[in-house]
Amino acid sequence: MIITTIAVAAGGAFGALVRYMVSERLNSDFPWGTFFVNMIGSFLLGLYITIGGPDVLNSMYAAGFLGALTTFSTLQFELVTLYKKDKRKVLYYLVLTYTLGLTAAWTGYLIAAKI
Amino acid sequence: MKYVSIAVGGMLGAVLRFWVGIALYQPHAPFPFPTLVINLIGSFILGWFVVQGSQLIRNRTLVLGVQTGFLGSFTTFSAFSIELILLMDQGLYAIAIQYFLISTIMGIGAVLLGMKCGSVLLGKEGAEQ
Repeated sequence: MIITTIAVAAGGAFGALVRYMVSERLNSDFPWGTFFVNMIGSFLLGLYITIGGPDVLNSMYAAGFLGALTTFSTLQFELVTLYKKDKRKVLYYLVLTYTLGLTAAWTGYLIAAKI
Repeated sequence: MKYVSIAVGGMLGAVLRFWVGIALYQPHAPFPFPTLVINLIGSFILGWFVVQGSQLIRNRTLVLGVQTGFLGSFTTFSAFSIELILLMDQGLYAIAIQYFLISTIMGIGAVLLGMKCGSVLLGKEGAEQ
């Protein structure tokens, strides 16, 4: 349990840092950074979930890194703030995130199932 | 320094998500509600934090650590996506649609409610001063 927690912590620290660095570079009047990490993270988790791996690696990578790399709260907050600025953009952001997010996870999942 | 703050926040957020996830996990639940509860609580706190919490702290490095690090890591989009795919893969379309709608509608509701709480509490504090 202690080792698992340390693994989740290490992955979480790294995931949050990567998310911040990507968002810092790509977020402008449209939150491309958040969008991008959420898509990549969903794809990688879809890919990983069927392959699995040793428990410790699993905790570090899936629960720690990919969980922290992607974010739900920031997405919801961006939807709210974007709605006040540009109603058309909020619709794009909403539709793009949910359709491509599910497609990304599904693609990863299908690729892994084929391997 | 801001990177250290975000890394520490991210670490704590991920560990808390992991522990809450284990605590709420029920093997026979048809609905992946640990992730839902985590995402909604995180969205509510983020809404509150942006309006009031960040005003209380005021230190930009610490605000980044809590907001981007801790709350960003605590909630997760990847688990939400894959849970939906797994539900659909099992043919549980009705549950998948419910899970999707509850998460997305209540997610926005949670942020708005958090922001509202923050502004009400801020206003109350202002009146007391």
